[in-house]
Amino acid sequence: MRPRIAFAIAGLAAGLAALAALAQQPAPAAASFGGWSTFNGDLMAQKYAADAQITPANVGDLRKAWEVHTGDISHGAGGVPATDWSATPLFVNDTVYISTPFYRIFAIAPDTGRVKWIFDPHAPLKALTQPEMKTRGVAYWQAANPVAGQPCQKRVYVGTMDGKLYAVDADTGRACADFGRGGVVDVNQWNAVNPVWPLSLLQPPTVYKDSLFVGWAGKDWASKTAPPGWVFALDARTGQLKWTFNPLPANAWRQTGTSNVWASMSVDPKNGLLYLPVSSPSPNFYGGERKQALPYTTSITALNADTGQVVWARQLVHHDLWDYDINSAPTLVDIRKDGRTVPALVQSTKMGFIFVLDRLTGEPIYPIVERPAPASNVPGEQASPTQPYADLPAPVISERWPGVSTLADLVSFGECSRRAKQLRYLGKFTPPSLGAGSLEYPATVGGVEWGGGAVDPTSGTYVVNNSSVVMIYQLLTRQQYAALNRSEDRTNYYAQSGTPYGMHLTNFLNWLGMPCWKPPFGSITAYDLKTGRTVWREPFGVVQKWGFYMPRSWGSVTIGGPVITRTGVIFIGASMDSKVRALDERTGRLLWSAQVDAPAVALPAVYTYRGRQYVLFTAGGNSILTPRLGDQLVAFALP
Amino acid sequence: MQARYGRWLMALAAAAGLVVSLVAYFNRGGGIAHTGGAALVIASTAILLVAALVLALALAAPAWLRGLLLAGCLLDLLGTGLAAFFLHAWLLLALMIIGLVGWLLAMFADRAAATREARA
Repeated sequence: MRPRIAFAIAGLAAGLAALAALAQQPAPAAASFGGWSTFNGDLMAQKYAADAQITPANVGDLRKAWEVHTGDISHGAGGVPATDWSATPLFVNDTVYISTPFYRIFAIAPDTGRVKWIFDPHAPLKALTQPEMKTRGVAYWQAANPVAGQPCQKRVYVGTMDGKLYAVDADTGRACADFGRGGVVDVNQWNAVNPVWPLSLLQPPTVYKDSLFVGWAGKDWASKTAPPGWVFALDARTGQLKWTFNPLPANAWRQTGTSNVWASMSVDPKNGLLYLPVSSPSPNFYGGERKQALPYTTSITALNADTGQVVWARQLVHHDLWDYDINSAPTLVDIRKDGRTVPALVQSTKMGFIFVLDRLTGEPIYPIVERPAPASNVPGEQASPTQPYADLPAPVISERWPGVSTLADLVSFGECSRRAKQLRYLGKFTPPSLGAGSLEYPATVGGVEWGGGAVDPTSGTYVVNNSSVVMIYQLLTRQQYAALNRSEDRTNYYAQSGTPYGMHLTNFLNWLGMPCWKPPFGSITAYDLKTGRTVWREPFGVVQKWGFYMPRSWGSVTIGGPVITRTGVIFIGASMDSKVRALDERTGRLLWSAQVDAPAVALPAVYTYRGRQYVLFTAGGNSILTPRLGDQLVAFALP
Repeated sequence: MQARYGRWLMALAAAAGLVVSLVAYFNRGGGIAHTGGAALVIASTAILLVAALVLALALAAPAWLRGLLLAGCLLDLLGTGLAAFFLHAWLLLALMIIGLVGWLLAMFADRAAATREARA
């Protein structure tokens, strides 16, 4: 054979092989092409950007392109509660949209940071449910067939702490008069059962076709009965109620409440399924009066998006006594496994487990095993005898608590080890207890928080950050709790009124405020979803106390989550030290970091506008991490 | 002469360190704004500046006072340098190293001069 022909045939064969390999790859199912149109980037909560200008090779050159200071910040003085700005900015309609903790919407030019318009609903700046003024952003909808010259063919929605949902024209910022009453729907009109507080709309609605799916947040740990966890489907144009879903049966509403959906949701557009991360029932830490089967509580529940009917549900914690809310939208991705494409759902959790399910049936793709769980020693309580465990992918935190930190123990003259011996600890799922209380690992702050994970649908790599925090759950008899009324300091005490027990919830710290457990306090992990194996795990972030940075190997408690770009760059804030970072998807290596005004406890957004790729971070802070708060929205781009 | 240079070098490093610390305290985008650590290095560089100026200007000060101030300056330089390391305030750390060079000049040049005077 002539060499030229041989080369041609070899080249053709290689090309065909490459095409065949590409055909074997599952297509990115719902990537965002040049935009960031939902809280999670897209409806499938992949947090994946198809933009490719920024690469591992040039990400080190990123520079600040623009920044906006909204002015909506409070440190708690002057009667306005402190702010907690966790909003993901959206990029859609050639505009960046974001809400502030004072519930104003900013529309911003994506290349310059020029403010186009501001909408102010004049919401009351009061901590009606949550202790802080909080927002996680806005939602966007546009008509499938826009009518030229008509307003509100494109809309931005923002919710408020007092339960009002506003719709404004995306181009002008003017209220959409045809939505509800004069552009606002008061969700509290449906808050008729145990309405002990308003339904706070802190998470933006999920938009699918012409529907808005609305969950809400409430007041944690306050009382036995509370509003049951309605999810509302509203017409995106009129605000009319289409259907409702309640995870709690009506016959349980006298014993319990919540099991609401306060986190973001995801949608499988191809199959018309809506996925709800359902939280735990009230009262959070004592279940003696809600012993009946409540299968949708602390669950992932799939609904028909058009009707609200349950398609399947899987409870991830039985008889929840730990406030292990399912707290992030499940990530939907097609994975290639055992020679076939599987429609998967990946759910990160506060417990540290990563559940991988078939999203059409709810059946596990990697095994879920029921294991014996510790019994409760609290009179009236009956803990579940088993709990579901997922060993593959490996949980983000260890099975046992990390043990006493030698340094923290030394500087506290043995306080940490002495207290550890007094606490009840029987491993994961140790129920709260009376007396000194129970040591909880992980605790209500996780594990993984509401940022959830991100997936690269082309490589099948799933990346998620987590915290490693030990807490003490101590139940108090009513007599003990009543005695607290005579005490001045009631910080971290919660009534759980209507039950026999109050609650004391604290981090396991020594007298200096140092964590009594061993670091790292936070990590980031990459998994190969095709095999379930861990690709890499690294301590993530840096702890900062009084300005002093602690060693990198300690990691940081994290709030917020990662996003991934097509070029294999992970962008993430989430750390206590107010830095934003870029990591290599393949290795976890730090590629770039920049200082911002406050911890970026929101998901970043990635978009390309007029040929330039931007990465947007909201530097708002969260007092759970540090007192440093901010009002900065900052965009980075290549020079 | 070298001792004099050393004392002034220490004073200059302290003055520059004080400016850097003040900027760090008020610079919102700097990572340590309004923190206890930044306040601490403002105080420590201010004290170092005063001590170094006394050493540089009060040449007739008694030996015990000079010794006390030199010892204090060394502790201040090391402490501020350590704080700067944990604050990731690299410019301040560099200034404290320069200040330490000044301290060494002041210390050993002083001692050499004293030895020469004793021999004479």
